[in-house]
Amino acid sequence: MIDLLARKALAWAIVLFAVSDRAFASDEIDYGQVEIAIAAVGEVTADLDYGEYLAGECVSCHAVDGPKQAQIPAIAGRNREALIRAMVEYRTGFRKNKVMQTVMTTKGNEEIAALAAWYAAKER
Amino acid sequence: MTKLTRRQFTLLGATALASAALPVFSFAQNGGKPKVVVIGGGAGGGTVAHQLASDAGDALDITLIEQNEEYTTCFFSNLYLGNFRTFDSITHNWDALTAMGVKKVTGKATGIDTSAKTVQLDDGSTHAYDRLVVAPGIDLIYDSVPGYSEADSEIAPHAWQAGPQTKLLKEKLDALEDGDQIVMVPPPNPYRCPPGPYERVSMMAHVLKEKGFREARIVILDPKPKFSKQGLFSEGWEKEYPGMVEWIGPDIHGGIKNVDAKAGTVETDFDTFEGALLNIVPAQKAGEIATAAGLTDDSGFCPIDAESMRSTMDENIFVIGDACIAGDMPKSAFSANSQAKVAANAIRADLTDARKFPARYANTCWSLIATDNDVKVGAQYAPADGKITSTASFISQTGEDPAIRAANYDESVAWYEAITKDIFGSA
Repeated sequence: MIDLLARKALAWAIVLFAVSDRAFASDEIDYGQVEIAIAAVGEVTADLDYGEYLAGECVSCHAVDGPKQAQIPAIAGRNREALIRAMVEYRTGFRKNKVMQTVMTTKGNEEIAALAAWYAAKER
Repeated sequence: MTKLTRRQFTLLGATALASAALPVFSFAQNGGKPKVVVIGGGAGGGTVAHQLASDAGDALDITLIEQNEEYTTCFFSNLYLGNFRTFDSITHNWDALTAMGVKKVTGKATGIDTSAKTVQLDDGSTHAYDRLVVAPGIDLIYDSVPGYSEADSEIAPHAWQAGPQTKLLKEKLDALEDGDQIVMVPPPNPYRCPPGPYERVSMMAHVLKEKGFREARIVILDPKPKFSKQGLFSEGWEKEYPGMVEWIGPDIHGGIKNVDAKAGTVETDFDTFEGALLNIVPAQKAGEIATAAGLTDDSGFCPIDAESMRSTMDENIFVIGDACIAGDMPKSAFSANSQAKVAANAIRADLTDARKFPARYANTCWSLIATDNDVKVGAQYAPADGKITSTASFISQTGEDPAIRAANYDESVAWYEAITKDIFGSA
């Protein structure tokens, strides 16, 4: 029974890994630096109006009611910390996707904080 | 001087904005909500209407003037040619927007009275606006290709405005036999969808290859010495369709001298090319209403303020999408959709108490070369030196991992679903 659950968990982990850009994640980036960058975003007070405006760019590709496991996953209503982590991972080049890496080059801590707060508060 | 915190600065900004937005009260005195009229329901106009209806639908009266009852997207129409999409799947309507309170008027805008702030329609009706968004897309300059005319497009389709022309090109493509030749003449810069002609060639080649044709050929007679994603397409054609596709630039062919649609020939300085199918895409300019309203400059397109998408010709008018001069941004649905958000933010700031944020733009263009072989190019943009300027960019690499190319295709499919919802309010 435990063995079955463990195998199921492993199978899901593989599926989730495969559909995200973490499948193309870099092994050259020092993740300690990523953690420091994530902590810095956490220090910023989020401006929700700004987040709503910035989210206009995201909605062009991330459908609000789209599936979470699509090549471009739905991000509305997701955990704020997870959203910050994903955005910082793209900005630092840990996650590999050319569109998202380029999108994040122009997003500072204030923008990431605003987007994460707005998306986390948005219902699917 | 006391140093301001960002929050204080924002508050001051909001106060300044409130003063600047005083004309709001004059709208109220005229009775009713401020009026926004949008001409054109495509990637730019649809998005503006959707944005305003979502965010400020209670505060604004939004009218969408559009001559069609449904809309076939130019983007992904090459995938219809290549049998990757059905025609229905790239055809949309504005029902979801009207359900959100947008008034859709089916008609053709024929004139704009900028002093009375009204739009005239072909049925004689007029529509008053406080702010007007002009998003008419492109018009084709048929006689930019010697010998070619609008009538000829019924024989040698351009299919650069999606709809009946797209279906006509598909019928002619599907009717080809092995040994036949397609001659494509792409447009000169600037034009809608820079990689589009070359993705189209890829999709036509895909259809010919799937049929098992070995002798069919596609010749591209390009007026340009180079083109978008050239290295990627050249590599892709050689790998996927060896010997089938030939691109000939102007230094070889010396210029298009004459197109005879009925005879199926394209004459150049170099040679006369015969095609069982001619796909002729002429030069382009802003949609007619933009010219009629005096919003264009000598280039045939509309200059705008890079901070807001506001026309430099009239402060109450915004021009977005293929009709505008967007600096480094290509003419694409993604660009139009991005510009629409900046315009919507500026319009809300003009007419309501909403905050104006700095203009930021984005674009990504995916191009399908063959099954699971999709390439992309994209960039971020911001205003600089009075124009929309690229601040970061990327392009797919030749020789890259096939898994990335396959993921690109899945990504493009997900993008299409998302952006069409963002334009039309639903898929």
